[in-house]
Amino acid sequence: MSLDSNGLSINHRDRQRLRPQLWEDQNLSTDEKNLYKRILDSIPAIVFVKDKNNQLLAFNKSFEEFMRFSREELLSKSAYELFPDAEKYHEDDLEVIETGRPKLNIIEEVIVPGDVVWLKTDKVPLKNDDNQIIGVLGISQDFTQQKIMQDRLVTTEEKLHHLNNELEERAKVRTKELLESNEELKRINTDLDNFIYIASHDLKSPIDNIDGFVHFLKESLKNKTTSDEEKVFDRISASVDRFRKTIAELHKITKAQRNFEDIIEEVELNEIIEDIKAEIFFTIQKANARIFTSFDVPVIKYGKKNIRSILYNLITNAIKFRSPTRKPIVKVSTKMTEQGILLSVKDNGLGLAPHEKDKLFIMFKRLHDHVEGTGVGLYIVKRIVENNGGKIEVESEKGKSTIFKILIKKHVAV
Amino acid sequence: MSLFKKILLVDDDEDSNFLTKRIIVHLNIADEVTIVLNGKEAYELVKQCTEEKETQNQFPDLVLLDIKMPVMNGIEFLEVCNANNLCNFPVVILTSSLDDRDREDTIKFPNVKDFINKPLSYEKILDIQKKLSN
Repeated sequence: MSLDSNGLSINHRDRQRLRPQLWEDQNLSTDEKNLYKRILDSIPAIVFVKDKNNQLLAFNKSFEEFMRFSREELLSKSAYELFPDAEKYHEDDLEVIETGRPKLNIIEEVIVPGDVVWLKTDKVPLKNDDNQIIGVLGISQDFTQQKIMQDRLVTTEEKLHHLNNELEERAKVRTKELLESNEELKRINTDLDNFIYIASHDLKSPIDNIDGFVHFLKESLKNKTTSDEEKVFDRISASVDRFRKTIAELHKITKAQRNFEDIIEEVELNEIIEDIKAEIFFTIQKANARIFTSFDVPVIKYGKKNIRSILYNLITNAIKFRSPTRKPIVKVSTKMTEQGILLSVKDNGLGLAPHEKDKLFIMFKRLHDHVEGTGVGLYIVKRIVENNGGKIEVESEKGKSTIFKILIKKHVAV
Repeated sequence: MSLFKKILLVDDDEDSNFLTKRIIVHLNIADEVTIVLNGKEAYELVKQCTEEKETQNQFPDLVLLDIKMPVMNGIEFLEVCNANNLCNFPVVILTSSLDDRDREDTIKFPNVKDFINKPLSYEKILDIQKKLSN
């Protein structure tokens, strides 16, 4: 008996002689036969030989155990009696026998008495000494565990795929919702600005008229009023004036809103500061204030009107809210940070308590009654900063100092 | 002697009209003040003045025009007059508006001579008269 490249060759020519005494070769000694049998039985796989008529010719111990029949029973039964799906396996056998080509990695379900298992089988042609194919040699491994794992993997992959899709879908929905909320917020913002614009406009006419009527009455009643009545007139006029101022400030906000579309250009910060200093010359002089600058980033790309508005509001605020016990010092600086350009305006003024900081940027919120103002300056500053993609923060210590920190987007540095 | 013969006041705000008329009369700014409540009424009036020769002498020598009005606003009035070649009268915008756009939209008409905010005062009228005589 010898092995060739196509598979195992055996000496016997016909099935009758092969079966059931496959090992009863006249050329082999009993020892040799026993050795071959032991080798075959020791292979940790199911080994079997079938002829083209689907008859079992030989098999090893693993095959017997797998089939749960005795050797004698197996040899006495045809494959049709042993396997419900015998025909299916026979088709593979015939293909190998007819083509002479091995068929590898056949993974299929096999029904054996009381069980269903998965086998992975290689089938190779079996030839005799004359190189004629006399059958098929099958080697099978139990593949059930791998199959279960494989199925589980597929199921898990499918689940994962499903989850992934679901997640993507949810992300899409969420993104859409966010975009919608953003749109809604933009719309509300525009509505609010429009409302402020309309309200400021519509309130202006009646207050002008009230003013006119008061003047009319004052003149008509000249020298006929008591001093108390005069005081009432003065109070009405003062109230009207305050009302007018508020409307003018409201109007300024809507104007600032339009200025948000200010042309972006290279702005020299020192130039802006000098310009502001000139404008508020008398305020600085009266308060005995000093303004220092230290610009690590001296030129930024920003709307000129907008950066002027920011600095003007912060500097005048710093002087307005000065401490009565020391001369006001205002320090304006820029420096480059990882997040962008940091523009700081620091003073040594009244400072803010923690609870006051939150109210700082709210429209018409005034924290100090003794100081003239309408409470829209910081609101405008915040709107400008945020409309240009930046951030504004305030750090303060009551009675000591306040620092406004404005983060300007990086790309605006020159 | 008054500064103007006839002033046409175009404004829907009757309180404002009361005050403006009072100032005009009180300060002897004009001999006659005609008040209409919107641009359409004003347009019909100037059209009628132009068509009837005998009323030529009553043609306003100053129109004080508000902007925000119902039926036809101030800007629409200026446009329709301009389209019909009815521009032979000086117009001064008298408004409460603080909006720069309102100024830009009206001052571009050739017969609009000035843009002033309410209330009207003697100084403002003198200023207008100075501008008109130039």
